[in-house]
Amino acid sequence: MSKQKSRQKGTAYFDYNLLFIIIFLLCFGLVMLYSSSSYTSANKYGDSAHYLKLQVRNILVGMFPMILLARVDYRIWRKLGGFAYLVSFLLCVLVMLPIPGLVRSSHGQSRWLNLGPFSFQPSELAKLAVIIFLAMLIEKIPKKLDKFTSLLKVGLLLIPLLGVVAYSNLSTAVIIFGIAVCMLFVASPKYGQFIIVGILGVAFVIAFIFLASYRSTRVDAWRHPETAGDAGFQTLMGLYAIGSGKLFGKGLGQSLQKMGNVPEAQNDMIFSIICEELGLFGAVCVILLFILLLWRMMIIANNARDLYGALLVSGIMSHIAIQVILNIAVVTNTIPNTGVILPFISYGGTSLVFLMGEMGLVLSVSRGIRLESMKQGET
Amino acid sequence: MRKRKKPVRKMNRTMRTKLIVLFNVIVLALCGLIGRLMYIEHSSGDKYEKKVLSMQSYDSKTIPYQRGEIVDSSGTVLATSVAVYNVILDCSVMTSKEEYVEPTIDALTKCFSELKREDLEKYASEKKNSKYIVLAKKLPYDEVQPFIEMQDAVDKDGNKVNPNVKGVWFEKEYQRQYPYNSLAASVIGFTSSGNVGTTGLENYYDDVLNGVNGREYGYLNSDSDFEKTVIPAQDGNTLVCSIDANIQSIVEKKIEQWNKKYSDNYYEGAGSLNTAVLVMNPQNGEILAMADYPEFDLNNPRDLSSLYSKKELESMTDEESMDILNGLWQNYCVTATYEPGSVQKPFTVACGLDTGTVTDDMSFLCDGGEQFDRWVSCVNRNGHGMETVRTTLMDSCNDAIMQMTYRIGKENFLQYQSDFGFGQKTGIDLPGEANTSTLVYTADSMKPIDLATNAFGQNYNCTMIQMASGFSSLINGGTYYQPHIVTKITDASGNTVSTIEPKAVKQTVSESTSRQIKDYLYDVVTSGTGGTAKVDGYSMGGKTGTAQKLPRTRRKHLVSFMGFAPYDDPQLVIYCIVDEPNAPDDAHSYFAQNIVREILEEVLPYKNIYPDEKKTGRNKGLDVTGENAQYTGEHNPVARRDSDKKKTETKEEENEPEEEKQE
Repeated sequence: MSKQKSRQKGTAYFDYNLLFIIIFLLCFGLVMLYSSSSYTSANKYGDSAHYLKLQVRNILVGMFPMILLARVDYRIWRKLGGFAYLVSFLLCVLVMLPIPGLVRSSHGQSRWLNLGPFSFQPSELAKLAVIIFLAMLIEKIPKKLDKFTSLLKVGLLLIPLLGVVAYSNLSTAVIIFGIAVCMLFVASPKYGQFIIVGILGVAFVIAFIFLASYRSTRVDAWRHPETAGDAGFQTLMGLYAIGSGKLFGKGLGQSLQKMGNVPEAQNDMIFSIICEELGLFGAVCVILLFILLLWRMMIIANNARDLYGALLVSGIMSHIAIQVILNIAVVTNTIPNTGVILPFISYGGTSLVFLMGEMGLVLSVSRGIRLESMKQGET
Repeated sequence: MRKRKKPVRKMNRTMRTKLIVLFNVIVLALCGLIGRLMYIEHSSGDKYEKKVLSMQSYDSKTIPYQRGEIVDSSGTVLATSVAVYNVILDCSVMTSKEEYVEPTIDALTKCFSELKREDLEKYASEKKNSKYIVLAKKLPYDEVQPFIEMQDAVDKDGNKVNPNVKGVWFEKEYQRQYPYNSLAASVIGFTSSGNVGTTGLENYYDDVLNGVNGREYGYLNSDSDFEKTVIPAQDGNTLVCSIDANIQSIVEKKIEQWNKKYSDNYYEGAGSLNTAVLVMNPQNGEILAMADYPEFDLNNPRDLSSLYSKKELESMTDEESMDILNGLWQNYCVTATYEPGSVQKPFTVACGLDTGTVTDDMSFLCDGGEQFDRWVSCVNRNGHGMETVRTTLMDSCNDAIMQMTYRIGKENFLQYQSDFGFGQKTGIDLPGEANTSTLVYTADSMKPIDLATNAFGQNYNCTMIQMASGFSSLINGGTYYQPHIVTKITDASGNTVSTIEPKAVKQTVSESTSRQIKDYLYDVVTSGTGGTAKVDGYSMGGKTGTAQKLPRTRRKHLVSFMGFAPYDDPQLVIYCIVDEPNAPDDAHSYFAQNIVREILEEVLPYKNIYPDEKKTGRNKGLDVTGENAQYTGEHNPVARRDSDKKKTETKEEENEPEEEKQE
């Protein structure tokens, strides 16, 4: 049977569940962002809705790639895998060069490229590029993946980009590495190799942590946030916020820690404010919402029309899962502090636009599903 | 499973399984994090919650209330609280950025000349984290204002001109001020340690004058006053007094003049131990003026330098100077007790008339004294001869009064004394009113000689306020009004909180007795012993008093005059006492009479009381010492107030030395 025929057969599908969850998360994110940032932004900018307005703008900007990518057939990206990888690699190199006017620094690290009215982080592009690139690569060599050497070869291909990203932004490198491992894990029929890779990955991270000096103070802050002084301040304040929330929280808008105590409450630490205001109950609800989102993606991946789509969705799913896990782990001081944002909820322009673009890709894949094949997939 | 062959590679079973495994691993990790959250809540939730609460740097500032004012009957402010400002430096804010330090120090030294640059620089380098350094205290607003103006100045774009001046703020405080310094000092009283009334009205009405502090809650932020809750302070209430600042100042001026004249007159030292004057309205018990001398400055109540030389002050122990201060702060008119002397006589006569035991047509033979277990002599040792009731008062005859008591009897006398308020507190709204209940006789303890001497004002003690209040009832038709000072209490914005109406407590004597007494007292001033007090052109009445002090052998006297004006409708009662005038012969009531005349000469016109008699030129050209009362005895530098070497023949001695009475 030809492609055409299979397309005509069955009802056209669109995953409204996923769309609904995304919209819900974005709106919930706006509420929490406003709650956590209003005090500091009123003090800093004289406008309590400063961050809210910017985030609404980001969402509106993000709508374009999402709608565009959802409507365009995802299969055209298959050809662009290598190109995306190359572009993102070049941009990541570019951002390391001290070019005034083009590179913007924040928190002592240059991560932003200024492009006219917008500035964006090439490392965010790198995540998407790796997903597209790996999906293309794995689809071409699915049979070879049971060999460990071919896994290593794929790994070698990724190392240049990984290295460039890790140089300035370790947490993004970890995420990219995680995405790659997850995608390879799904594609490969073996298990044992991944356990080894996992262990190696952890060892690599630990080694890196102890090599970079500023990060080892982070490690110290992680283990003893009470005594680490300024380095442990953010972590400690986050913990205070979580602890003071109790089961049902202080109520929306009632956080005390957002009053300048938790630095950048609207960014990485927004989950701690959620815990403080909505309590353990609210936090678990948010986590369940993410699980629901990931579950929808798993369903879409399992029922995708082709392997490429399935791999794309698996990669995106891994990406979101890793960010959620890392963010919550940082907030709860389970791992050392790294700058990982909570998808859809934290404040941030580039990451939100790319995340929404990725969602567009997932929705595009979902549109390729035929209902009858879905039934099969679910059996 | 699949029958169809597909050209497109699809996910195989293994891949699907592995995706599900991956999903499960993710879910597991998230569940682990939920567990971690629960663990944090469970293990340290309470601890962290407390930490959060304790960390809240609520910028909780007390907003001080303004203590109420004390104003006189015409609204003249006698005591007020003025806002002053403490300059506070929050060094941690100033040093938070390098570029704040210089401009802030520049601004401070420019606006406050008393601040030294070196000190501020020292703070900036050594006390970096100090949040509260008091740079200056209690500055008035106009000294603080230039800095505030500079801090808030904006250019035309709305940007701050001095954005780098940081960390300076002002703490508002109220300071009690008395615009007239010593005026009515012992009546008004003063406050210590902020708003604690220590003496006088400040003490008696402390609760009324004080308000409730307000509070400002908010989150500490040097840039903005975001999220502030203000509970405003409730300012204290204002007291409106019956005291008239003009009358009070006339009274004080005359007392001071007299005392200045007589100081170092006979002994080295002040003109009298104490000179006190009470002016009240007999128709409602309101006190118009209440003064004693020496006085003190309310704005500086602990300063004795105006009364003592530096040398004397240095030689004093703390205890001694505190004793002197306590004496100074006392309101003599209310807290001091003394034997009143002959001003008692109208009360005794009124008692006789009212009970019918003495009538106007009776007459008594004065033979110079009466014999009890010892001889009690009259003023005139040789006797006044036949005395009617009227002339008894005019001559201030002790013998006739003593004879009257035989007819009155001690029950009647004690009953009336009690009705007039002797031995009881008047309940005036001032602190520290003396309790005289143990200083008067009871029916059981009173012997005939006690009755006889009490009848002319010796051998029992009273206070000035008792005497003046009782006297008011004698001449106003018999109504006893409780004396009081505060007539109205208003809140900070001027609305009346409560009005204190004149309180008629009792009827002491009948109207006809009152009329009769008034008539007698008119003659005392017109042609009796009280002539020196007469203000030419005004009808007035009064009674003199010259009381011998204990121990009688000291031969020291407390002289007094108590009078009213005008005769028909008394508007003023004035009572003046001079305790031990500084003169070789101090047993003369005209020391007090002169003061009263001088005061009334100014107060009567001020009160819009017009002359109601033909002027006769009486007492013309007399000053506060009185032309005829110039006892400028030879100055004796060795003599001390308590040295009894000098024996002077007394011309007007009213009674014999008596055996002491327990006090």
